[in-house]
Amino acid sequence: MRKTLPWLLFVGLFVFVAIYAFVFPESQMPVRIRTDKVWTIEQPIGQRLFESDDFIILKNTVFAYLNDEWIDIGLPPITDRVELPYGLEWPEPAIAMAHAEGGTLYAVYSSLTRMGNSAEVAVWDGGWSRETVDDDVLGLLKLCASPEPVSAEILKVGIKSKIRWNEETIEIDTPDITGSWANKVPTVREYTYQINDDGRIERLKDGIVTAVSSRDELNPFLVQTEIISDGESIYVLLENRSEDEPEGWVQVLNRDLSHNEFIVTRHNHQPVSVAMWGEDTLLMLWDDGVLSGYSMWGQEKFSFNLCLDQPLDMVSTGSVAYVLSDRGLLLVSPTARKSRIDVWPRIKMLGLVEEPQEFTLFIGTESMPVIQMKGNGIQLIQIMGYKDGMLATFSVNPDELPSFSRVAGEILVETEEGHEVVPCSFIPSGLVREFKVFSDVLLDLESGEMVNYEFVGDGQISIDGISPEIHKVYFDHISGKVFLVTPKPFSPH
Amino acid sequence: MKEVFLQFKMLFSSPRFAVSNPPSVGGSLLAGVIILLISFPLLLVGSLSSSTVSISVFPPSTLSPISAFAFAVLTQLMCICVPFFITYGVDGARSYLSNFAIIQLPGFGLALVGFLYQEIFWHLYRILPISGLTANAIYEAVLLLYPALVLVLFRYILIWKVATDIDQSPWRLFILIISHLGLSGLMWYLGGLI
Repeated sequence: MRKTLPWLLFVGLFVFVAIYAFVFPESQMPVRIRTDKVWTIEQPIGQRLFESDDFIILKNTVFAYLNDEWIDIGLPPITDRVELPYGLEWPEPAIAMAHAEGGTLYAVYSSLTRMGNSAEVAVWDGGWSRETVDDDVLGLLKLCASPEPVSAEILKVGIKSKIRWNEETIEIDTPDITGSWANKVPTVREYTYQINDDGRIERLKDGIVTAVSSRDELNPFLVQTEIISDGESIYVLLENRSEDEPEGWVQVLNRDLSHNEFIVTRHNHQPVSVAMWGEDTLLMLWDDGVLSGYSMWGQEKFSFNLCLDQPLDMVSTGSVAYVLSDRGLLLVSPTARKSRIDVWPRIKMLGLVEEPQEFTLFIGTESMPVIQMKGNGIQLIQIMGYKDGMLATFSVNPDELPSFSRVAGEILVETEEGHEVVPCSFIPSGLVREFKVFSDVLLDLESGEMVNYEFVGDGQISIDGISPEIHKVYFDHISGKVFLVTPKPFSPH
Repeated sequence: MKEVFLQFKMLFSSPRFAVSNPPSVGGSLLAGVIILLISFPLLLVGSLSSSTVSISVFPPSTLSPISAFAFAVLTQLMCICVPFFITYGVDGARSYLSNFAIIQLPGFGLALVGFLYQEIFWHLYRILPISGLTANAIYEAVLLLYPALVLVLFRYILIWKVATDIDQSPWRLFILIISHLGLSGLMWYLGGLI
């Protein structure tokens, strides 16, 4: 026993560290989450682009009727896309489909149809394969791509008071959660609040409008979609309907509806729904199925991926949340546990950084924290008092760092309460311009400038006035997009 | 005190023999309290908080250091000494108290690990070229949590040896475990009320 004990301890060390580090890397996270399916939708729901006895085509997937049930066959796989530098992604392409007799489905990514009289399309005939088709089928595909009025949709009545389904052909048993969904009209003291038809917030007292918010400070693309309250302030979910900036914000208004501040956003992601969890946490559901929790001043407390393709809506009863997706309803139960040290694990992922910029980090301590950095490119600028804690401001400088490589580091925060490690990362991006391809010109999606181009073989293009020694051009025939990349420090990598 | 040091020395060669030949109750209690007095400030400034089982089960964090220390000693007696008394009578309580110092030794080790991590290893982490959530978790697991886990287990092994040295009856051991868990739960509840 005495001889085996050191070996036992040695092996135990590896087992323990492996389990701890790889299964619970965020082990200090004070919130755990549990999801339960309340009910699963048997038939697909959502915005139907096309429907027949054999297929239902939704925006993001296709269902085929096989063996007396609807099977998700997905979209045809995308192949032959040029690999982009790290940190850049091709957009999801538009897809057109046509249903031929005999249970065959044709699908083509939209930009291909412009390239000639025939094109390679994906064919579903029990499995996805590739086939070259001519004008006749291409014409059919174009016709079917036009989005008809939605045949199934989800109605939000009032502010989250009820969710119901108006699809006549689908019978859905709405679970008995009436009590949970009730009483969601935000109230502060004697006032209630609602979104009026022109997208402003109204404050009502005894049914009479006593104040209306201003949209003067709002970008015209920002649309208010939901409002909630913590009993003191109003939190308004702003959806950005501009295609170029698909991100939303939460606007915080005081009870008089005068502007206060904007909090909470995620780069390149649109918020779907907002709710209160407990008394001091904002739950945000994002379009990629991520559920995040934020403090009332916008500090991220936790973030979980619920693995949903199409999250649609969320309501919270205070302690649990119901999340609706195109596949059913999930009951999500976040569970707080007291952390050993009062540390909120946070990760600062700044994404692509083209120019020097700043970001802030809130530290919930009244004494002056000691902050140190590990890694390149990020520097502490200042620490100042902010509300009940300290706000540290950092600068990110991508210059002189290799473009399109992930730069990772850590912000080490030491306070009287303990220490916190905040991993941070960014991708120095150089200069990136995104173009849409037309038959004779490229359109710069940001500046609106048009430039000439020509095909140079191998499916690549050359842009007028662009030197291949300095710049790199990436063309995607599937989405019809071009990225023009100028790496920093202005030398090809 | 000489007997206590002899027992400590024997702990590393034969733990069973060490608990079977304890020093006097008075000497053991005195040495145990001295160890607790050294361990407590180490825990207060270290990375393992005073709620670590080395000192007590769950002392409330809102108490002043002196009150927390008193609560910790009380919890120690309530959660271990009383179960020994319930299970084995006066002999059991006396046996635990005469091994009081040796049972605090792994607790001192825990306090030391937490202190070293906070004062040395954490500062080392800041200059090492490693970063990321997983790297941080590995570092913390190797240098803080695993040693703490081993010491906690070792402490319970010592308590087990003290118990089996008195009587190896499975039924009595079962009563000892149940009463320990029950009283620990009670003290945890009381700690929450304070």
